[in-house]
Amino acid sequence: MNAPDLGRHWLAKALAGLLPGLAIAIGVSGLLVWAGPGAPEAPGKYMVAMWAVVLVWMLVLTFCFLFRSGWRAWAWLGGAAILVNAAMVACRAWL
Amino acid sequence: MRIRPEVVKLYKGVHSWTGLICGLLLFVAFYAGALTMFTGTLAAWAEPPRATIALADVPALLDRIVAERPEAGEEIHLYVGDSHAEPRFFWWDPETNKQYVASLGPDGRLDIGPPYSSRLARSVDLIHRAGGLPIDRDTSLTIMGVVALLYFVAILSGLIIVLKSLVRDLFALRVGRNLKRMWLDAHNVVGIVSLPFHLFMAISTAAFAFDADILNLQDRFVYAGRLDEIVDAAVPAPADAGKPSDGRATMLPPAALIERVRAISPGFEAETITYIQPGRPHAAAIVAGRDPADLSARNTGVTLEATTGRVLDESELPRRGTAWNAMVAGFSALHFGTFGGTPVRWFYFLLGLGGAFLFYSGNLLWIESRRRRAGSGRRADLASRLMASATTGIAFGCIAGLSLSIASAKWFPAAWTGLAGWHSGLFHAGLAMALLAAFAFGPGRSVAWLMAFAAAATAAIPLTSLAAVLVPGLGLWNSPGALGVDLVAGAGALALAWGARATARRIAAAPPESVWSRAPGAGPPPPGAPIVSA
Repeated sequence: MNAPDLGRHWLAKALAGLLPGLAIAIGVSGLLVWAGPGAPEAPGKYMVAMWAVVLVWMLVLTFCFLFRSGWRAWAWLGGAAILVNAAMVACRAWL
Repeated sequence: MRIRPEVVKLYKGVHSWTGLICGLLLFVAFYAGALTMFTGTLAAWAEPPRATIALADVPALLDRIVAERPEAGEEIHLYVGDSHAEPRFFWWDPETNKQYVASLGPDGRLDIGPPYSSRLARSVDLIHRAGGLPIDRDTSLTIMGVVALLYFVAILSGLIIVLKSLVRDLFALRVGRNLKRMWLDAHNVVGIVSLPFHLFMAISTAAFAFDADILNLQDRFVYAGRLDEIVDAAVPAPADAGKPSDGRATMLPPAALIERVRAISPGFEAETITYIQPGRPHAAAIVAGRDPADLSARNTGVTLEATTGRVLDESELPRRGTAWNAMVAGFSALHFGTFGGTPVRWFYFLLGLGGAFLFYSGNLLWIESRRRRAGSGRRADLASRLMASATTGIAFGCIAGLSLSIASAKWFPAAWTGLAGWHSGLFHAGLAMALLAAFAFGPGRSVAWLMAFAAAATAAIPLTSLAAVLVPGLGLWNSPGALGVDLVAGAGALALAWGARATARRIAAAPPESVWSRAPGAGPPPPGAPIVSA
């Protein structure tokens, strides 16, 4: 199998890292808020959750270029964003 | 560690482009940021000597200030630490948001006016935050937030590139004939050694730039509109202290307040005291400073009743708040280097200068790799020449501009209020001159001159202090407490002068197709260059 040229579709991949990436980061921070240690009202927890968004967003933005094409990047990251946010909403409702 | 070659190739491209886009702004942010590690010393260097206010006189002076300036009745801050030369009062007019300071004149009269201190330190901080961009603060902060996102990607992609050869090459600084190899080794070793610092700076800069936007998004999608409730639940219900009240009351002097804080936090080193509603029965005082029992030595504060010294809030002290609060406080301490005291400030100063070197060397390496790809003997293309001009112009223009800005502080009349604008104006003028020269004459003919310009501007800092000592009639003043500023600037000027000489020699030997060649056309000969006859 030939090694794919990972540099193609860089714009589509970067946009996937930016947009669904931000949605994933918000979802992960929500999981920390509702399912993580401590009550959501614990002093200072909301600021840690804000920082968590930045960290997760940046990590997705770094590794989004590894997908074989822009379509795959959007499909995987978009799917992950929906899953993470669904899990977050479920935690908010039942925890 | 094995990484597939196509992944390394991909991240070489990502590293180049993200680095090129944000490197120039980051150079200014890191160089100015390194200087902000010593804002107190810079302010002391810039400030004319004043009469000292005894801490025991503070309660009486508080009454005099409030009687003379009712707008100071909300909050008055007082420096008590040793990072400033003497205790001094300052406050903001809540109507106009203007800052005022009070000090004692030689005849014991209260001297109230706009701030004469720390304007220099503040303008260096603003240059740091804006990456040197001459635009309004909100826009430049957003731009720096975007730059921070790209910068994080640049750091991790750079790490991916060197992972394979990390152990073998890390401390191999191959000094020798292959200059490109040496620059690459230096770039890699500085990058790897300061990796955690850079990762954290990228994350925290983006967090500072986008915090309000992210909290808004989270309020909508995470908290379902309940964020305000959650934040309010975290803040304890306020007591009467600090609320407006009628009548007069005597405030405890700073020494008594500091003693109460030391009773619960032995050895607490107070930096500032804020009197809220000074002179009123319900007045409160916030004693801020550092708890030596806290290994991180970050800034914390204790709130007390200003009339009795009863402790109202000690939750900021170490081991008294929640782990979340401690994390958030730790995040900002890591960005600002406000932990560990003076050694950490020096460490951050060096890391900041190292960061500036990373962006400078990264751009030069990009130019060099373009030359190699084009094949030897081909003349450097337009993109390489433009990038070389921009990089040298911004790097040495930033150094020269900041040095001019600092050196000028002692030359302006002390009572002049237009000073803040001049500090940033001089910085931008120095930067613009260097950029103009770099593009007008091209990189080869300008770079050694730009370094000489930066060296001369930096030498002006210790020379100004020297002039104050040698020629008292000039109206300048020397600040013995800030000798470190003169020493560091002197060393920096020598290093830049040495760099200018070495660069001039290197350029004289550059092949004509190089981006650093002085051909075509004749320009001024570089300073210190050996004269080569054609």
